[in-house]
Amino acid sequence: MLTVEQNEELTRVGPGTPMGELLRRYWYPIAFEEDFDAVPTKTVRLLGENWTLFKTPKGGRYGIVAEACPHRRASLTYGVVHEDGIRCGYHGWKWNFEGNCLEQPAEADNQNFRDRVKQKAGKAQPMGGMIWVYVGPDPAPELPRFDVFVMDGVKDCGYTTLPCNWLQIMENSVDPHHVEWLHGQYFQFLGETEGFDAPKAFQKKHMKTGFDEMEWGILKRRVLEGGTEEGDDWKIGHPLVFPYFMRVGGAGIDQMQIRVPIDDTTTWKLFYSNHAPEGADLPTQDRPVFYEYLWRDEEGRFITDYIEGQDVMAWVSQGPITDRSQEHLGRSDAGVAMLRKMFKENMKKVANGEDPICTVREPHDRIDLPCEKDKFGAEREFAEAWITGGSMRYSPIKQELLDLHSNAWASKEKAGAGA
Amino acid sequence: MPDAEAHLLDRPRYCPMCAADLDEHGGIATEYWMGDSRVFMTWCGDCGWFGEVVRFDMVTIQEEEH
Repeated sequence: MLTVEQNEELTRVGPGTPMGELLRRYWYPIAFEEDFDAVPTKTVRLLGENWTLFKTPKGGRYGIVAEACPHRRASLTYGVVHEDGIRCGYHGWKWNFEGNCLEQPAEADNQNFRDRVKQKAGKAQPMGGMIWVYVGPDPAPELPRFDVFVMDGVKDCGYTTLPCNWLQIMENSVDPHHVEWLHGQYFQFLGETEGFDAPKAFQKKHMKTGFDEMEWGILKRRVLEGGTEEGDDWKIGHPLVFPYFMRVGGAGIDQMQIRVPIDDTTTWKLFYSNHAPEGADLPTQDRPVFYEYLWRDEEGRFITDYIEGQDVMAWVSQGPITDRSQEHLGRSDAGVAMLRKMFKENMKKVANGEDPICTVREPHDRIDLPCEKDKFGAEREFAEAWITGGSMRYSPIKQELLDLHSNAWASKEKAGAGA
Repeated sequence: MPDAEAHLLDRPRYCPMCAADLDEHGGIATEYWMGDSRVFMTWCGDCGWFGEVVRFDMVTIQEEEH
């Protein structure tokens, strides 16, 4: 339970707020490379502000500036993109990648005027088929090249926009018990009611859970019924990657769950997966496959017959911003309390002029994150359960993914039989 | 008394280690319940102390098998 003031401080992400200042120290995916195949500009919203994202016609360089032109506030998304910046379509004021004004055609050539007016600007780069942006203060950190986005494999990414604050989604990631209830018991109940078989992998009881603060956030561990501390779920665990990811994996699938804070009451929610089962003959892929997954039916009810749909119901039904002054936490919510402390700690660092956790300043090729391979002890059936029982069921390449895993297991078994 | 009001009245105000005002120094105390106890997982923004402050009305001891 928190006070109303503490809840406000943890959930407001606009400019000038303590959480907003912290969150502006990180890079975020905000669009797909394929969005720019037909048009060179796109309006995007991030941390409570609207931005114009653009791509230069010849060089293919990405830039991001605040959407409203400082002149008369028209949208720069309907401007002319040049190799050195973007020109407002209304009166032709031209802005470079740093937000400096290069030209004001209708004004007398006036360097003093141009130098006095500046547009907010950030940095933009592609990675893993997405466009990542940084809209915080200079010097910008390096864009972290987390393993899932750069490793070899077949990439598949479901996305949607949720009408709720990003923090209540993050708290789900340090709440291991919900798995056996929401994805176990509730899923089983739904299966019995509606006449389908719910996956059994998620029904195992938690015997022990643990949380470690580490360089990338919080490492979550669990021992399930029938398991031991020698199993991957405890020995390796998986991390909540501060401040807006969770890394999960198992059975040849590695996934980053991404929660981009669009504004105080909106989150862009992506499940970005890389499929590379051992022994698989990986096909070449030009770009990841991006698709929208559904979470409400035609009657407006939550779709809860799959894993992520159940999570979405739990997050969105708390309201646009969870009122934590009315909650009643138990001991099993210790991870949630730990995460709130981590946010406060890093807000303080930023206020003191320090880099918060997960700031990467060194150029690098890849950052490998710890993550269990044998998840829930479920082995072969886990990949199929994840693909058919999760958001990947909406993937246009669902069958190809199932075949990829199935063929990889068959090759592995054949190789084992021949040995 | 509503639980939210009780939280406002009973949450720790000062760090148990350095006595800094928790609110003034950016600290946080998240309340959770365990049995009859009210536990405040507390972090001090001044000295960094991180631990639990437990409020209870009666000291109870769960006897081990003997």
